[in-house]
Amino acid sequence: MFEVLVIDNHPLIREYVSTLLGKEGYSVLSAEDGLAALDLLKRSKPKVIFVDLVMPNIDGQTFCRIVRRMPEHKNCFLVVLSAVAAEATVPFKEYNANACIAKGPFKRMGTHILDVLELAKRSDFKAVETEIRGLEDIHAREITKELLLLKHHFEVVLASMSEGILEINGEGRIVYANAAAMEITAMAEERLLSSRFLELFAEEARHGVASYLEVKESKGGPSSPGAEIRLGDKELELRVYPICGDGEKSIALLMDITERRRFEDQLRRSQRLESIGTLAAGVAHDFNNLLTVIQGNADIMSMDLQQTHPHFERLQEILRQVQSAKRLTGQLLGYARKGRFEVRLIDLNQIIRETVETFGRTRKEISIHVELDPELEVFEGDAGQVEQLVLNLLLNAGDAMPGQGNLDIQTRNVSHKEISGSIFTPKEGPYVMIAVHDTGIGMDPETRERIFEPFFTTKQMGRGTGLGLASVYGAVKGHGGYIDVESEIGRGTTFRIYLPIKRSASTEVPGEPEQDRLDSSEPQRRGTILLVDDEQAVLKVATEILHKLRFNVLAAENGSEALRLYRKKRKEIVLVILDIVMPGMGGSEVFQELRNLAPEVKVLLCSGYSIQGEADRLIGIGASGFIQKPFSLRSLEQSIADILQPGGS
Amino acid sequence: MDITTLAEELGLEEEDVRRLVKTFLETTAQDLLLLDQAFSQRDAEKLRASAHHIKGAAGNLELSEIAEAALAIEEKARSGIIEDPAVPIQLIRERLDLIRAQLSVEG
Repeated sequence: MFEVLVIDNHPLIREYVSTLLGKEGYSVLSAEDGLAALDLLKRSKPKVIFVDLVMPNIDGQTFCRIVRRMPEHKNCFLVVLSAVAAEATVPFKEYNANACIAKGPFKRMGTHILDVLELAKRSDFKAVETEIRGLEDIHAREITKELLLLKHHFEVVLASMSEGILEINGEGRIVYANAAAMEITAMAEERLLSSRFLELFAEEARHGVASYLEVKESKGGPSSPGAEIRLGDKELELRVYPICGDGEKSIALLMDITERRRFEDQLRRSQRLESIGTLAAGVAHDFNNLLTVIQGNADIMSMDLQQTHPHFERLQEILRQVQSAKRLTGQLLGYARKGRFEVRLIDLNQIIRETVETFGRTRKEISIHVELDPELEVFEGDAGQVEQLVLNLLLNAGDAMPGQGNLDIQTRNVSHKEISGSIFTPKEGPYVMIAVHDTGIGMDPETRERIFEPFFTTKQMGRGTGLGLASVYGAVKGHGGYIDVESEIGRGTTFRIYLPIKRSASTEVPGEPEQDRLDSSEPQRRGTILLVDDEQAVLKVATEILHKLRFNVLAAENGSEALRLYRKKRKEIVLVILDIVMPGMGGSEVFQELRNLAPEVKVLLCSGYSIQGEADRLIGIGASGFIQKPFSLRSLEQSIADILQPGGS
Repeated sequence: MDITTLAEELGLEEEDVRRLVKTFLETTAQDLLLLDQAFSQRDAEKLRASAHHIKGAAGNLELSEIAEAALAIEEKARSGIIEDPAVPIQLIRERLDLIRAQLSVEG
């Protein structure tokens, strides 16, 4: 005696087949739909299964597919027993069924059922029939064909959707899943169907999901408006729709938003760094104004004192400290990508060799391995920033290895396709890569998240400024490049920096910086300079410096005052020194007005911000030069000389 | 309906056939309620499915009048026509009552 399973949602069919086969000595199990049948298959192993096609909760076609994938049951003899078969050609072989019987009068159906069972036994459950049995009645054949086509159409639509769709029955069990749902849940159909929807999710998320399933009535909208939820390593947006008119069932729509979240995180992070950058640049600008006043006053005092004066050395110390402070504000501006940017062709290998030599001398206990690509492309960039970048990377690696350690530095030409494992999508084109790997203490993910923020430091108070990696970030962004960081506590850290290889025809190969061209034969009378700055203290000290340089000075605190003075004294004025950032009428507007009054006017721009941006633009349309605050007496003199000397701009 | 002949044809005991017919009466009565409900809810798909259910079971027992009445409802509903099925339902109920009476006499 062997077991036969009959699956049909009509009690009459189940009862008839059970009675018929019971009389023939078979042990008969019955189930009302595919879901109930899958439950039965967990504890019994029927040799023959009769299955209806159209059923709620896992239809016959899906059931056949699943059974053929179950190691325990895949060799059973499957018979499709369906009313649909009486009305349309059922491609039962595509369902991997062995035979198909069209439903009809019991008398005829019974004969076919018994015949099929005999065939199954005779063939050791292996026979596969070609024809549908019991097709004498062709009642309404065309009608169902249309219905089947319509069903097929929906199947195709559902299968090609990128959203995962799950149908959940009143008990919270999954009875339908489209292809996307299987992919998103990373579960095969045979595991997904009949499993409990809630159990897909982690324990702590289940309560929330359960509350969406409890909503049974809907006005067409979802009961969970785009709830975000984790499933394995994926971020999902979940919407649950109760099925209208069928209060027991729900449809769950799963959208994989992992990628979208990743991009949003990336955007948020760069926006944050950007806003910190703006703040940092603002602070640097104000400090530069303060430093201008300190440096100017100290310069003037130094000029008036003999070198033997007891305070002379103190003034030199003040000037040295101003230079250190200027480097800090310069780094801040660099981070905000508002630093000076002098474009040259850069040989990265050369910069690394020089930097490693300097660094190696200070950290003899670290063993440094350098692997530089001899074919490394030169690229366009700011040599000063790139040097800073390399040095900061080395210093950072050194700090991560307080005792001994290995430091590996590598350069290589790469294409954008090789920039992997990163959270950004690099622009197409060739890049040079510098990789710096240390065997130091490593970082946890929280630290790694914040290392590029200015003033973030893990070092002891007083040891790090928190600006090193921030300026690396600024320099890389300024060059249009990318940074990738890999780190693990106790294993070390690898920074990979990718800088795009850009070359414009006009860029010169790196050369020696120009020699100091300070003119030693100063003329006695040098004319009048119109000085425009909204900071009183800056005006005062700069006026004094210009007097020292033997210029007459007209000082204006704002734009309109400047224009009034220029109109009045334009014949005397040889140069206008113009602050760019001023309240009310800004430097750009004043510049335009001056140019309208006198197209030949010479204007030296001046700012606590850098040349990038507005100053660059004004130079492009005729301003004569730019000087960065804080400036020394000597550098101001130089800038003025460059403009006023014969042939100067 | 002749239970004895049907039992012979199906190769079953009369008692078995009686039980099958009882199941048919019960499920069809339920389906008729669903038909009523589907019409009042103006739900064409539910109308079609319930009629289809009745048609199939009646066909199994070769009760052609019931099967045809159910088919008429099914076809209309399939084309989206929601028509009051009161007349065919009435016809089916009458036939069911006859069978029920027959069963109780013979039983």
